[in-house]
Amino acid sequence: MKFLREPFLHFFILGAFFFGLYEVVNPTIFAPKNQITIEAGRVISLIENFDKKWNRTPTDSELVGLVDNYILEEIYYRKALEFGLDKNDVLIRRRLRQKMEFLTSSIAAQLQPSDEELIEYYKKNSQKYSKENSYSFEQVYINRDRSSDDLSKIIEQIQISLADGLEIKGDLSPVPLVVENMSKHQVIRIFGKRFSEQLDDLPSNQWIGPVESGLGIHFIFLENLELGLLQEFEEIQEQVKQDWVFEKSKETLRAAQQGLKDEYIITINWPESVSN
Amino acid sequence: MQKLLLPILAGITLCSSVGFAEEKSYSPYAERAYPENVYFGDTHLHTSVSLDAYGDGNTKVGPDEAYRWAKGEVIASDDGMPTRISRPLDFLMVADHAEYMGLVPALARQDEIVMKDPEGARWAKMIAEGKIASHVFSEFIIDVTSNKPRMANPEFEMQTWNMIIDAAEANNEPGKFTALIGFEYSPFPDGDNLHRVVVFRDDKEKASQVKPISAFDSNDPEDLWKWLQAYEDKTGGQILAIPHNGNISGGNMFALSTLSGNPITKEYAETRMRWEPIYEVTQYKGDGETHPFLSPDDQFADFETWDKANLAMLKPHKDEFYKHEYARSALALGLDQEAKLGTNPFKFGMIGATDSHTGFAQTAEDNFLGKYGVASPNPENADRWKKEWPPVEGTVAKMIGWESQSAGYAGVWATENTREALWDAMKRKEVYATTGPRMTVRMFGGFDFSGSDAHRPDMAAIGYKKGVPMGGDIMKAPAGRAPTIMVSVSKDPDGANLDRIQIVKGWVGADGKLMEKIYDVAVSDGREISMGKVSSPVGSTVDVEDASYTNTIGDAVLAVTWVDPDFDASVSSFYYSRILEIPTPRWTAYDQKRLGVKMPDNVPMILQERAYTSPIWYTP
Repeated sequence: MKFLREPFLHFFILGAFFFGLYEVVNPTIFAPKNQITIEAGRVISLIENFDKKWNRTPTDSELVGLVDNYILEEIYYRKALEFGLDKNDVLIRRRLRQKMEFLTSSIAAQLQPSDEELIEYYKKNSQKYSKENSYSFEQVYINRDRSSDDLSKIIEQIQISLADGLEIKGDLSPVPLVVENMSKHQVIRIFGKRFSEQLDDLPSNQWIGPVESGLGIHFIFLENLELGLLQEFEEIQEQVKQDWVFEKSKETLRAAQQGLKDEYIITINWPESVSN
Repeated sequence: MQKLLLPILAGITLCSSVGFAEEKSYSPYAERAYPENVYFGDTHLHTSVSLDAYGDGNTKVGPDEAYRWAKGEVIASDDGMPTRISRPLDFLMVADHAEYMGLVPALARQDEIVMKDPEGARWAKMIAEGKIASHVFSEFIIDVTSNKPRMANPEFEMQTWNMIIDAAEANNEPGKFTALIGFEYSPFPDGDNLHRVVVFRDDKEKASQVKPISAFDSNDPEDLWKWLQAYEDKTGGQILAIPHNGNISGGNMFALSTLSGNPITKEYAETRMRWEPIYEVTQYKGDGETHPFLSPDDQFADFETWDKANLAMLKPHKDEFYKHEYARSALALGLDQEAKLGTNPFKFGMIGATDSHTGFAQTAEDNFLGKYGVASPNPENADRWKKEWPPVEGTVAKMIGWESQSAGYAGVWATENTREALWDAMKRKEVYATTGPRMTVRMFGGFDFSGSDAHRPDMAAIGYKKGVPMGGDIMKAPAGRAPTIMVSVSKDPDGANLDRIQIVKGWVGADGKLMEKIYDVAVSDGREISMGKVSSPVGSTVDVEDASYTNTIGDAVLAVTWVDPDFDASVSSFYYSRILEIPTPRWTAYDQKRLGVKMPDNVPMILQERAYTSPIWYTP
């Protein structure tokens, strides 16, 4: 029992006590080597960078993607350190990651899908393999380049004519007046995105307007909106296969990344401002 | 006689389709289907395959990704950010450099096929050490300029070429999206740019029978033309080449002597025009329509000017180069040489392209992704506006980041969206350049257009019937009549309004001097035109700090039939249209706002986007 009074032991016990206390208060000293913690400040920094680039804050799923992306970078970086490369440069971090990714994606490039896998993929992505919606409509175009008084008068006139069941006429139109079975893709090309975005919501078989587009003002008579049909698998088999390989290589990479992440204990301290 | 009938008919059709050997300027289109749609795309895009793309920050976007992005798919760039084009393109050509094509990604992956070469293994080691931009690229430049590749592997080159062809085939959707097959032949002797992009009319079956010619084979474009001839002889296919960046060619792009030092001849002129019907006049490395030195009276001449030195920045610029470097003076020079040689060596149509190396064929000012990956709009890259290029030692000048242009696209009047129809339109020069926006431009030349023709709904049908479209020829003006040029423009439906249409006329004066005159022919907002000049500028709605503008000025549509008031029926001339949008924010303004940087006063924040049509030539 004499040794209990050894100063060295007291010193040792005191030291252990303080280390323990420190660990409780600031739990990183004895953090396992496979611990990754994302601090709130880092999350905020990612949001800010995104905002600067895209002029808006990220959606929830985008934010999760950004954080995930950062975690992967951290993992690849640590792995690379384990291999003896120790430059703490952003460009180097990325290069190291890319090098590691080559290993996984080159495996994915060798993939050969079975017929069942292809058909399943085709069914799952039927929206992608459906022909585009096809639009048939008439439109009357009014050029905006006149005084706002004139413009209001003209629009009013048209509305009155429509109410009286009369035919309406507008200005010389830079875009077709009658459109038959035009795909959405073509509508966007010719009439612009602003115009095409409003087409889907139009009730059919009546003149609607004024509708604004990048080109001017329109009155539109939607005759028919034909929903695109799903193309036969046999006709597009080659394309389905290419898309499957493209997706599969992305998936393989993600699976490999998950495998790597599983080796680590990951903690994310979401800041309070992020309501997730 | 029967036996001769077919060749005679073919001969007549052929002659009429090229627009000469006719008494009257009747259009060859009158009886056949004419193009009703214009298609927008890029013929000059680089991916991670190109020797200078990978090391500069594009390691992920290869040919397949590039085509997919152009079609509207979401693709991630090197910094992991997903990105999508604002509106899909109608066509795209991946035109990677033939020199060391695909080598860098293979070295980075340490593929066996390149590692077995000791030079390859050495380079791979340097790349792994992060020395690609500083050391490996410098060695590439030395190799290309001296025509001595220190590594040659034909098997690997064909493998890469086939990979590119396969990506084009996989993404080609006739009628919806055209993936053209091609590459870039990139010689720059003494650092002078003589690059050409090569466009195949054909598909895999023919294109895969040849290996792209590179600067390692020869620095002389005349050898490119021999290679093109050999391709057609071997495969029965059709092919053309598009030169670009005369502005950094050290005065060589439109020189009156060949690279081998001889004065150009009639045969040279014929050969050049056979293979190079169009010219890429505007792209990332500057706008090449004209230069204030050549056109001091043109208020719009100083636009995205890039003129300090040649491509490699090794040779400083000299005043006597200008005439041989810009499209407008070259077109006039062509007329001058036509009188002397009998054939016009510089009778080219015009298109725009990007020359982007990020794999993204994008031109929008509000989302300029930069030419190289390292210049992408990342907050970490906030100083991209002041980064200097090239990143090598020993140059006489540097281009600064802000001087890059976010441009351009080609507008192609084709009968349908297929490889064959687009290529045919380029061959007959029915194309125009834009600096990015997709305005629709029609232009016709003839002697019989009336003032009201331009404003009729069937304006195009009239144009093709009574005259020729852009890229065509009119000749032998009837007594007392002057050319009538009909132009009709509608704005990019999702873009900015139009300011004006101009017509640029060029000819050679009696004293041999190259002459030009610009006419304002249609302007917005009801402004007056007097003596070919508009009374007032269109104004500006640009808020630089906010990087925004409004379409409260300018017009959506402009159309006019113009008669040349200064016509001399005995003088050869050309006419092309230049269309200007209202002022809009430049990409530097968006950077300043979004990335929180402050640029000095000499950095432009506002620009007027424009389009240049192919010319119509008048011959007495």
